[in-house]
Amino acid sequence: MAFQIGSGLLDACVLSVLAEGDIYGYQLTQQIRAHFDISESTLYPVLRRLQKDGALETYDEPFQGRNRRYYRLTAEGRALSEDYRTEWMEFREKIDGFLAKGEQHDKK
Amino acid sequence: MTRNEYLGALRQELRSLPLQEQEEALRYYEEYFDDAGPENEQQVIAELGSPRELARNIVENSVFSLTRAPQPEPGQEQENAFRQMEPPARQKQGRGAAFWILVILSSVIWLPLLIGFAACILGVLAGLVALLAGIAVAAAALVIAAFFCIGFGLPLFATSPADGILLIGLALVQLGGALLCGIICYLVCGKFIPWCWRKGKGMWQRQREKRGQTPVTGKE
Repeated sequence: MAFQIGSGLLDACVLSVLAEGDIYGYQLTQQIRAHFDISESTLYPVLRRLQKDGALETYDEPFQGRNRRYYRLTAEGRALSEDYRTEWMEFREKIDGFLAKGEQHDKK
Repeated sequence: MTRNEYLGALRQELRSLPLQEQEEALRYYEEYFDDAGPENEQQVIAELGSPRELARNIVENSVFSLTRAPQPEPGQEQENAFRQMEPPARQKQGRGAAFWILVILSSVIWLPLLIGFAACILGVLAGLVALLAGIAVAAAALVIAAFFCIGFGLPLFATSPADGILLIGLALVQLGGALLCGIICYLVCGKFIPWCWRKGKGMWQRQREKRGQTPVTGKE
């Protein structure tokens, strides 16, 4: 594996998932782990930090006799998610500028 | 370790955090275990790492955001007000002063060994050079001997053809031997030694690259 998902990109992905709907910790972890090999311990600090930054808030829903904590995007979180999206597009274009035109750079 | 033992240990390791942070973290992981289900309990424990590692991860990342002024949450204790944003960036693989001091002090041990080792290498090299020189001299000697044989052999054809043929034959053998020696010298000097040189240089350069490089990550 040449590349690892850094903290900025991870934030972006988490916010993006939340933009599609509220979610609880375990579910979020499974969704991200479906695509990236991160530890199950990675996401809690991310969620906590985003919460402190005001990008997320939490609420409880009763479930099977206990309370389950859900995460929800705030308005700020939504704006932040959009910012990340834009920055990613720009970043991706730059990288593609190098990596996507592979044939031209092939030396024999 | 059971889930409750794990969580208990985690609580212990999180003691340094403000109470609310502790509760938040423990609640998160309790729920995590619940959602994973009892059948996945051991797997989750394995994946999370030791309670100590997990706690360290949580503590290192529990900060007030740098993008907003810190706002104390109601009920939160005011200890541990500010923590470093990230664990200090991994030091580049550099050589500090301490390293060199250690090198100098320990030279009593490694210097004599190094000298001995170098002397061995030099000895072997000197032997190889001598061998090569010997082969070259042998080639020269064979050529000279061949000349003599031809010189003596040709006139003999008049008196004793058999002897003449013998000497010419001998000369040919000597010339063949000289050629063989010449080829060996050429191969060693022209091919083998440059090949060794290139391989050595290649390995040396790769070592230097390894030391100077930092890992590539996808952080922006």
